[in-house]
Amino acid sequence: MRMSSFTFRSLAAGLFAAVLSGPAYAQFLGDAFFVEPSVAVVPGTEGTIQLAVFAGTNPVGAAQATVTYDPAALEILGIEPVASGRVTPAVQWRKEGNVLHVVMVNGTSLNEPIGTVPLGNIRFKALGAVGRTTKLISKPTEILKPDAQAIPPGTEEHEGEVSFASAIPSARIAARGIVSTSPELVERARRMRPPGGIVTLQVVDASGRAQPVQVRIPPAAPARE
Amino acid sequence: MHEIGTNARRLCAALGGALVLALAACGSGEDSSPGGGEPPPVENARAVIEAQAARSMTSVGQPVGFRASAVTDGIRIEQYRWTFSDGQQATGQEVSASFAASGPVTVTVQAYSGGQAVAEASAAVVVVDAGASPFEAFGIPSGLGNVTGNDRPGLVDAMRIAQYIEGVVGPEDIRVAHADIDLDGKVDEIDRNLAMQAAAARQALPSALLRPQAYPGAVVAMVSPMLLDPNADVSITVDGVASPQVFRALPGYASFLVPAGLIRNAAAEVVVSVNGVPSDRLSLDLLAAAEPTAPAADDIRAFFDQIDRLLQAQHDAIVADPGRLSTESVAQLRTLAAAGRDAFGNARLELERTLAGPNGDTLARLFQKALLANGMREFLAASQGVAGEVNGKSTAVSAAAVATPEQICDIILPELCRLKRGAEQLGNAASITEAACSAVSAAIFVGGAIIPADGPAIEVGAVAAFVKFCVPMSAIVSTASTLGEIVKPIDPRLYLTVTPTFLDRGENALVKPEVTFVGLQHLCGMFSSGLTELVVGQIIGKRIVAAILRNNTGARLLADFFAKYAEDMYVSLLESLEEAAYRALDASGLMGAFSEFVTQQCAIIPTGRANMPAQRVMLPLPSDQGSYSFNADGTANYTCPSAPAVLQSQITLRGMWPMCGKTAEVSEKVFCTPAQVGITMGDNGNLLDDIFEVVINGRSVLTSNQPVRSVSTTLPLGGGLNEVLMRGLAAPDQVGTYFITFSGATVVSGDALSGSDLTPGVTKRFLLEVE
Repeated sequence: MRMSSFTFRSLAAGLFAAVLSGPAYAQFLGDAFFVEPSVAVVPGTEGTIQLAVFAGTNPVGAAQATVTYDPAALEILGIEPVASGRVTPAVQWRKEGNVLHVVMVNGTSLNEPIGTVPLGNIRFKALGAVGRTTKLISKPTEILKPDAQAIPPGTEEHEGEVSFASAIPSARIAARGIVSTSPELVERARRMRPPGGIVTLQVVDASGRAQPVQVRIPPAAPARE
Repeated sequence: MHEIGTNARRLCAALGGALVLALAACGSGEDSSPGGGEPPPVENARAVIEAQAARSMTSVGQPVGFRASAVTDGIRIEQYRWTFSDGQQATGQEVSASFAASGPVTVTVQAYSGGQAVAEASAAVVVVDAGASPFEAFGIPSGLGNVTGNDRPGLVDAMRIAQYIEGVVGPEDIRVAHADIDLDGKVDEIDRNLAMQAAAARQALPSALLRPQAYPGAVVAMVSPMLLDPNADVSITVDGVASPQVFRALPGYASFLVPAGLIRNAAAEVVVSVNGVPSDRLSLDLLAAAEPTAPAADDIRAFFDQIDRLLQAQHDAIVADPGRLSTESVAQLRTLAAAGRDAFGNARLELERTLAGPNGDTLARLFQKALLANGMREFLAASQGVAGEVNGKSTAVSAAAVATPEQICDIILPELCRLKRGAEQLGNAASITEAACSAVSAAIFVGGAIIPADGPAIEVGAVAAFVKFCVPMSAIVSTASTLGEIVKPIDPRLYLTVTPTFLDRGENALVKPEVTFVGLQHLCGMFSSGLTELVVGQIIGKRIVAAILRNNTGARLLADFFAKYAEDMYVSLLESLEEAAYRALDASGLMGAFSEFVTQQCAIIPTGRANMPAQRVMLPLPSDQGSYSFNADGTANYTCPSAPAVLQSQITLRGMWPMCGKTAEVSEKVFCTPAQVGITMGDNGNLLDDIFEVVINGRSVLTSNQPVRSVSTTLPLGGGLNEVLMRGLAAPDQVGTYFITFSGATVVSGDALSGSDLTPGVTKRFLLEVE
């Protein structure tokens, strides 16, 4: 919103960058991703991570996505349906090696849900050791409107991660997450959200405690608002 | 030998011409003989033989091997003569045959000793041509799961099934027969989940056990894309133990006998091997063997007593209201119902004879274990209420009258539900009997399936009588439940409509609870099109054929069924009942009666939505959440409280009513003192590159597919405080320039209404107060 800094030169640079980077924003329409992409869990206990697709203004009748994970680090216990307003779509899943195939169908409404549409909460048991982090990779397979028209699935993969910690901070402490520009953390975050976004990563410290760390993902284009 | 056969016929007559005897010792002879040549009648029961096909399914022209095995009382079997239903004949203990046409082929083998036929058995092979269903004529199409008719089923089929279940699309929108993936005669959430599983696996069919839980000794059906090749050799193990019986009759499907003697395992591994290669692994909740708690004969009698009570209940339901049907139709339906009961009674006589015969105790224990393993105890518990239901009000609605909301509650729904539940329970009983018979046969021939030590020791004559007793039982029960089967696909659902849903304080909304009978229009349309015979035949056929596919592991039952019924199942069943019960059953007259019965149902049961009495359906409201006043047409007026508490302006109206054994619940939200709140948001930066999303109560209410300068919506929000979330979804330059404005509400706290930091992963919160 830096209207005062606006100059012709920066506008031209911004437009050029936007052209070069293509429609960067469009990666979200049809994408599958994790709503809170970084979670921390105590080994041996259960945790969840929510998988969703973004459909923009289109209502979703059905969606399918895959999640690749490390079975040595996570034991998938189930995938539970998530209400989206008044609609609670049905969810089924299938495990093939280290890939989960998640299918959601909405038989109840022709008009909703729209926007960010949850496929389900993936419930898992944490098997990894304290201090380790395991990745999950989501990719959409097929998204349908209720009239069976296809919403083209995004081509990008988005990551989520589960960190294994001896202790999880309370919500109040987590809310005061620190900000980091660590290249390693930025690289982790970059795979979860589109350029220019912010991700709160759960980072396990030397004592085994998870710490929320806010990471800004570098922009894909020079800042132009 | 002729003398013995004549004696057997006399015995049959003495027992009232029981169908079972007609099929068994009475010389199953002429009617059930396959075409080609007539095997001579079997003279006595000094041997029991079993015929087994190397594969229960094959393709046209593909050879299949057949083998006979025998249990005898010491006599030597000198020859086996095979007669196929397509006219082929062969001799030898092991033979091979191939078939020129698709469909079920039955084969009868007779064992000869001393020049006399001493035993016979039959088997069946289902011949498939180019993947087509051999049971299309019975309402079981090929391509189950493909409800849209696309090249192959997928996610869209799962979605359509879900929409059909929820009433969002109708039977005209999908191929309903293709949606019954688990072959249980109805389309429900199980079929939806199976379709979703198929989509998840990117396969034409899901991979699943159609019963997730089973006792050792039970028959379990399964579906798997690995079973689509009709020529594949399939074997199945449970926790490493080979199933003694695997049976396939429909591409993609199989049923198998869970080996006896396995111990409890909540995650028993079922491994399906195709051509010797493990191809599918499924998990079965294997229960601990069901131990008898009563003497075997008592348990068996209790089971059949309950079936008898169900038949009685259905008989009462059919003929309780003769005023609704013509005298002729009532007579026809009464005859059918009575014939079913009589035939069943005759079958019980045969059972008693078998139990009283040599080795009756052992057979009783075998049968008891097999019944227990296949759900007898659960059936008895589930069917208690059905048999006891009596509806004394069923004469209150005449065909000409339009049912009132009270009559729908008190008469139509209970009567329909009773018929549906009766049909379901009788279907279960038939399935349990079939599965138990298969299990006992397997125990005898394979050894050890149920009671290992007893198998070879059983006196062969008793076994022969027992096996033949088993065959017709499910046909009798299925036929007797014909009328119930006709109405079974009709599914009542409860709806609630409230208009308007946004009210000022003290204002009224019309509350309309309604019932709709899903499937009724389809049925009525079929009957009014003059397709009575087709519908009835398919309903009966589907019930029987689908039950065989789900529950049969012994080819004998299928062979006998198709030898007798394949050509015209409906007429053959009626003839069987007629023969068994000595009653004149007129097929054309019964078709007319069925037609009239359905026509009456169609006249009485509303085809669209019909009012239910709000006074009885709607749950009372707390005094601070408004009130109802009730109208004569079944509707109600809801009145918003004149001064609701601030946070109670969104009020949920709830209704519930029992619907065929389940309690249907409906609810609708109304907003007292609502406000139409306008929301406008967008990217107001210099570069149009940001995407946002507005979420209220967990629901996305406003977003865009691409960056927009401004986008708006208007939606109702309840009075009081409402939390609005605005999320950043895309900001490629790390500058998420946003604005949001509201009309019709006041922002009392929260983040800035505009800024440049709403990037992906960031959420802005606003608290709105709606007056």
